[in-house]
Amino acid sequence: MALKVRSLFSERNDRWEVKVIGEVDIDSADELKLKLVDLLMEKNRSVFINAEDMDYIDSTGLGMLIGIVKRLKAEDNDLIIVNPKPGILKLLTITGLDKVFTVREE
Amino acid sequence: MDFFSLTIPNKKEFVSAARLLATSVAGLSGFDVESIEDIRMAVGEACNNVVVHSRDSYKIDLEIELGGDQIKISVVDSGIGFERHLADGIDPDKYEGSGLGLFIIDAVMDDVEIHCGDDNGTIITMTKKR
Repeated sequence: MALKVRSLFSERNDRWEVKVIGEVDIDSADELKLKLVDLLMEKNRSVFINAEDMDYIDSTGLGMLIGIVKRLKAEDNDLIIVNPKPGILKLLTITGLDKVFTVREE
Repeated sequence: MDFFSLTIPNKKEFVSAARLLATSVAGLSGFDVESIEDIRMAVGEACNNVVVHSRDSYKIDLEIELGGDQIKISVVDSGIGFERHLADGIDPDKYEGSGLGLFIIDAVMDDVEIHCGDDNGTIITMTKKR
């Protein structure tokens, strides 16, 4: 499944809100990285990823997100992953990355 | 014992085809949703390793053996063998992209063997029990 990314800046929450739909893998991680970097170049604020329709992420995608977190933390911002599917939540837990990203259900 | 196989080009855009075959076979043979997700992750990471590290291999072979209470999946490349080992853990502060894929495979599959040939590529064999 192809990757789709929808984003908007929430003035109310002072953060980027990004919906990721589909698979973030070795083929598509760069596409998401470019999108996120573009957003942060425009305004470096926390990034809220709605992951309810994200079907899959691999180590390439996770590595890319770690790079984004480093960029965010440099200005005291966060990466928040919301409503990941069970398989992705398991992946974040076994890799310990649930401690690097803020992961929560809403 | 039932056998399935798929050969894909060693290109990142075709890794999803390998994931799709493995998850389809696992689903058709009655593995539960969590196990199917584990298999999807493991096959994806094994193929990623070939794409990233075995650029001299023009193809990736996926071989699946289904029998008894387990599925055994081999990801084979024909590149020059190289040394790889399973990471003991992940330190995100030091992580720069290597090791995480093999760590994931080891965490989600029941048994993992990596055979690095001297001049005939690398085979990652992963087994998942029901």
